[in-house]
Amino acid sequence: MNITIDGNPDAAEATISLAEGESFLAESGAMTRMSPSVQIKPRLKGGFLSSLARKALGGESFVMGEFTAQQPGEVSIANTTPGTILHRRLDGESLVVTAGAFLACSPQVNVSTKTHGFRQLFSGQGAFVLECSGRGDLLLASFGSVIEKKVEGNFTVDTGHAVAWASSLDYKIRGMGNLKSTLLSGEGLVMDFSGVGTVWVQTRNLAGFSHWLVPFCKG
Amino acid sequence: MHYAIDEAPSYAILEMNLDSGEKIVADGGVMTWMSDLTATTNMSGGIMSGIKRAIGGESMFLTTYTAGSQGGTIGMAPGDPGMIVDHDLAGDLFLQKGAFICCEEGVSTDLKFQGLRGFFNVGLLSLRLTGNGKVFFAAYGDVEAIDVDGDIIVDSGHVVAWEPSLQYELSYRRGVRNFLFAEGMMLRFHGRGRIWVQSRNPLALADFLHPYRPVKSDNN
Amino acid sequence: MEITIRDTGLFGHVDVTLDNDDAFTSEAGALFKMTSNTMLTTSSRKKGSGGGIFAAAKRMLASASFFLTEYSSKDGEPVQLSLAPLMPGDCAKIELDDSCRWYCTGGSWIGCGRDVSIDTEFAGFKKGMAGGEGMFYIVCSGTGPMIVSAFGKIQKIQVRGEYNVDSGHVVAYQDTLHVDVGNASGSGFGGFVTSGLVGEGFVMKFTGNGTVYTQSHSPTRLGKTVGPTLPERS
Repeated sequence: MNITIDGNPDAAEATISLAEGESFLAESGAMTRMSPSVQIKPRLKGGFLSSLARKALGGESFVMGEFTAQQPGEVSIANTTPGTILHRRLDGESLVVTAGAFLACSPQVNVSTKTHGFRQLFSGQGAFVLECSGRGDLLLASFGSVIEKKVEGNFTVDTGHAVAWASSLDYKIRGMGNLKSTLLSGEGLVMDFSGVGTVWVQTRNLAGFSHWLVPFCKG
Repeated sequence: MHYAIDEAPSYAILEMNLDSGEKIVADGGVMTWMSDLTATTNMSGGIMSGIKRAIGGESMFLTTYTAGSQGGTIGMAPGDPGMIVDHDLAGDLFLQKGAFICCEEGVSTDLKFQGLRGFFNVGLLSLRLTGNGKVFFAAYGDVEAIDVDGDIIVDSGHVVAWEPSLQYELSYRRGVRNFLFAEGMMLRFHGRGRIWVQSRNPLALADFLHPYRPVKSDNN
Repeated sequence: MEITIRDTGLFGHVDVTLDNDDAFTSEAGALFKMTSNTMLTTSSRKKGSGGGIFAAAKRMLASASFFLTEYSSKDGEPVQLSLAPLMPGDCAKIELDDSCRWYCTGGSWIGCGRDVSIDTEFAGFKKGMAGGEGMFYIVCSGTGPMIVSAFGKIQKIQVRGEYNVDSGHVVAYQDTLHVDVGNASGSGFGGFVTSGLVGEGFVMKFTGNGTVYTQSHSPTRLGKTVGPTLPERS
């Protein structure tokens, strides 16, 4: 399997070249274009089958597409919002990823959900984060560019702008005490990270984009 | 205060390092990350209720960030993709309301409807910034600063900011992408002064998204 | 006539300079800046072909008409104007040479020179697929420049044989290609797989030899994600 990414950081599209019989998993709806020799099947990836999980995600299951090459072929995928695609090769370590940032992975990567018990977190993507571990390729996608921040001590991130972070980091979620946060669910919530590790932050987010659009909406 | 505008022009982010005790006044929703700063929020100016009426319920939340004893850092970004402009204000500036990011304490903000009365009260809902100091604002799309000496015609949805020395009037109603709530107003700016033009139109985007919005269930 | 594509990261746009006897036509909403000596002449086309558009199209389209503006000079002096697409993304110039027609999806077409002819076509999908949803195309032929735009980045694909593109990602293609509309989940694996479950849209299956321009991002997909988060409409 070979992965190339075009268009970073503005509007990235990842192209995965598959040998015969090879497969990968991608977020549903991500496919942009592909060779006809690649077949798509629905897959529920690890740990999402409980009704609680489905309910918390607003009734939607975390359905992925499993792309398998019947003959050598290529599949291109992209996120809903334009931005950056990050390719992480996992080699035993684990990474915490917000649900909206997950784009694709090779089949050997383990993906499991962690919940917070908060609703409307992470730019409306729900209360889930994903823990990705194992050995393989992981593709993450953002809205906007992604900036790597090395945390040494303390660092606060607006929840909508968090993409992924090292599982070694601790964090607390709190309100900013902002009037606005009481009017707009999910806004004004921040993550206070502590410890040592990397946080990946995106420079735009869906909730902020939606909020910006509101005054222009009529009717 | 040191700052840098990174990831320009597509997804510009303003990263600012404040010295101990320094403050910056920002729109309530722009903080993306920060360390060693405290935040206090208030509504703009004390003219809140009058403004809320005039502009249909929208008002401005401003958050003041103050750096701690070791200094502090903040990353600020608007909701829309595009560029951030830094401007040394010495006087007045009109700014499209959604564009404001932050300013130094010496700048005051006054929300005012700059309408073209008589044309169904359409026009440019703008913020008037007054004072001396740094001002940062965002564009939807890339931005071009044009020093007008004569005239230029710009679509109203593409105007980000302009200096009060420029006058404007309606020039054309051009054709539009569809007829839902299309504006299509071309404004003729004339005189001498600077206008900032953005390369995308938020009204057109809102029009495109209209059919995807949830439908009111109670139409009484 | 000078056409310059401004490539600035995510937000491409087009600058056009017209001399006294030049003319350029664009989708009416694309214009955002111009010199005051620009003459605008507006016209419209029906979004359907031939005898009007059928009921499904009328439901789907915000308006049954498509508006064009032709630009020229009022005073004989050069005119400068700038055009922008609706979505964030690239603009690209395709030089037409009368060898084929180009099908451009409705939201992607920006404009063209005076020797390019502009037709419209509404192509309904097969009945039984999502209630017969279809697509509105602008069909261009003749010679001269044509400008298209993308949501995100444009890719130019040379099809030799077969290639599939998700319907939300097609920008333009040459009519030397045969197009079929299919289900992304592919060719009959027990029949239990449907597009709806996987979340893939419809797929345009191109066969033959020709060029397809694709875009990295889909406006429909963005609409379905962002739309529900916006205020209710009446």
